[in-house]
Amino acid sequence: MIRPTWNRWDLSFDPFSELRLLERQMNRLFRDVHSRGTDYPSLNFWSNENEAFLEIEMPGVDQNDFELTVADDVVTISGERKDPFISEQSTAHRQERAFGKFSRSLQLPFAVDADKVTARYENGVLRVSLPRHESTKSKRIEVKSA
Amino acid sequence: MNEVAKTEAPVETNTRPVVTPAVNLYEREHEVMIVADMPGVDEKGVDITVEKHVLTITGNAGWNEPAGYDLQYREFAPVEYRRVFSLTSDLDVDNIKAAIKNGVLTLSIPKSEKVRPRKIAVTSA
Repeated sequence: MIRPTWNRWDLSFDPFSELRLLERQMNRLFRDVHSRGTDYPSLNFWSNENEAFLEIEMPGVDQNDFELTVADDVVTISGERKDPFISEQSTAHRQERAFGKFSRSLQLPFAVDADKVTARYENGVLRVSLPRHESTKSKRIEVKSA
Repeated sequence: MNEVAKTEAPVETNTRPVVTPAVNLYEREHEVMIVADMPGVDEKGVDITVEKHVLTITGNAGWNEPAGYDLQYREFAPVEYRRVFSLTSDLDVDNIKAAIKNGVLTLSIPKSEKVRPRKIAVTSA
């Protein structure tokens, strides 16, 4: 956590800055779990020794409208969310859902074997299994006694 | 001391947090459309009720968290989506159509026949 340090004799001393910082941190804390994040698409990421697992939420994106690419240890999801209902014959009264092109990258803790990546798209959620590249796995060295 | 033990445990109806889904509302000549983001929810997880012009949509995603991994980073969690709308009386609540695709719920609510614009034929005297 970064905490600002204030010189009490400085004229720019702001007694409420700590409070505002706390407010920002609290907002961020609750935003992450309970509402749609600001980055699109939202994602969850798990890993273990040999594999990474990604969950990407992109409701309303057609299977043909996105692309998943892997380069070494970077996974990129990019695509476009289209609005099939907006037209000249319709009036939008409320628009909380955003549309347009998106792209988001995530750096994994290890390089991935792109040929072994499997992905499944279901109900607007993409689940990707990313096996670690063999060459980056740690190997146990047999120690022989003389 | 005993009194504490007697206190009834709260009834947990759902352990998931309830989230308001993002919604778009459109109006067309003959219908009103409600489009709601409910990622992870399929047709089995949706529940739609109308009571006295109050429309409630609920969605539950039937997913399981992957096992055998350590969570590194999280931006969303399994939730229950719920949102309530009050409909105007000129909507025909008996003929609502609903569909869910790619985690997006779409409701089409037709306007009642009587409020649709009608052309009045004018006859010459």
